[in-house]
Amino acid sequence: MRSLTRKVWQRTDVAVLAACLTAGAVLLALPASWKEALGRSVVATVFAPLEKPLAQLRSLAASRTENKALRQELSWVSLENASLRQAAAENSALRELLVLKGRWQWSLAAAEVSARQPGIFAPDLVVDKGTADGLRPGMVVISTMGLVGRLSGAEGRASFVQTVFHPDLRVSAIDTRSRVLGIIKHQAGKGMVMDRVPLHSDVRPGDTLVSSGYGGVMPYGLMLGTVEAARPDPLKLRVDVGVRPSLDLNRLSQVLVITGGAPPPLPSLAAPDTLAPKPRPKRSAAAAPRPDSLPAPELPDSASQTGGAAPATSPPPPSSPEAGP
Amino acid sequence: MIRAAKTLLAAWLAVFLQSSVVHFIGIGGNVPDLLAIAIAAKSIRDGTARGTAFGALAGFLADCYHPATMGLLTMSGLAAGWLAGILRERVYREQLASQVALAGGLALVRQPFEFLGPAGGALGDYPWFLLRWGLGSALYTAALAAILMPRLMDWWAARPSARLAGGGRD
Repeated sequence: MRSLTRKVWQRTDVAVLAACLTAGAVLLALPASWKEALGRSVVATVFAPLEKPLAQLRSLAASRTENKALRQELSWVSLENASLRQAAAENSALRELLVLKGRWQWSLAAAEVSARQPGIFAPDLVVDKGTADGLRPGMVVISTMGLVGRLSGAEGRASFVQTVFHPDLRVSAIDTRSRVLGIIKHQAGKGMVMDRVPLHSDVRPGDTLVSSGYGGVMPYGLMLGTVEAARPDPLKLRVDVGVRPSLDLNRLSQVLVITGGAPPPLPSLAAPDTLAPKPRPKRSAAAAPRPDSLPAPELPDSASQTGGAAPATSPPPPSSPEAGP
Repeated sequence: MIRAAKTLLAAWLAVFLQSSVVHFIGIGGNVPDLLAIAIAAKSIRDGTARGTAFGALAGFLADCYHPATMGLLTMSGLAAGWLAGILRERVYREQLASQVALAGGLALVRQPFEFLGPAGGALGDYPWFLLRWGLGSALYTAALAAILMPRLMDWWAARPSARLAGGGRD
């Protein structure tokens, strides 16, 4: 027996096998907590120091691919976002037009601004509706910002809008606070002015100006703008009224064309506030130099050519002040 | 001393790559068994005793990742090393085909231990596992062994001290 044992242990490989088997058996027989502690400590000591940089390298390699995919996705999302923004703006404008449409009993045709006349001073627009949609020249065009203008021409699928910035378009306007009447026109290089306002009229900066409806072309109540400045002219014949227009052509994308229906009733000229005492302009104020933003005073002969200025409490002029070319 | 360091490094590298890199080169869920390749190379190169010890060491390092079944992979490693050492005497060990077949066979030997131990599989499911993954992994191991084993054995056989001393050149 002893010789057999000696023979076995003389063979190194058998000895190593026995030692390894013993070690394996000991490992198998260890308590679970010891196994856990041994395994964790060996992994943390022997493998973890290199596993972390390797994981970072793998993450770096994966992030390159991910970055490429995300960039591609970002470009798609940007395009989609721009499209959605455009749709949202269009949706908002159409909602406002719907509100406007329900305000009056007009027959309205919605149209989209398809073009503006080329040029620096190009106040006229082209819309995508025409005679095929029931539009006719002379129809009034409005938007959420107020009066846009009127149709100067209509083709089958397109119409041309003469906006309030056109030098040939004049609109009878009324001050909603004091009921002072005047004619609004746009002078190139001078901006929009309210003409034919009598001296001592109660027009103050900030007053709202709407279409009066007395011209017979534009209905009453369409927003035109606000009074920017009001000063007597140097000749003391009338008041120079500078107007800040409510219409911004750059923000105009959809319009409504009034194709028919009942216009709102004309405003009463017997406004109560016209009897209220109004502040007279002082001499010092009249003699003050005009700011550059104020439009230049009109010559008296231009007023006489169109029938003269309408006083605040006078009946509307018999001839239409809203004249086109 | 250098040979011992190389042995330790080879065992560590085999387990490290097996745990961190190998699953990136899997084909259809079949991954090669780097431990089997290393054990086969060591046994063919250095004999049964060293192969067995190397297998036990590599198995123990692999066991550390699965403490609950610690000892099982140690057993599988030493069994693989012992088997490779015995077969070393019966096959033409310089032939690449023999080395490759031995590495693939060792992968098949180690698989039941891994399936029943760390993987927690049932014995009745092993045939299905063998058909689905086991044989593919063994073939993959054999294919990779054809590339790795000659280099690994050359690396083990190299004597850096002799090269540094300028031995073999006049």
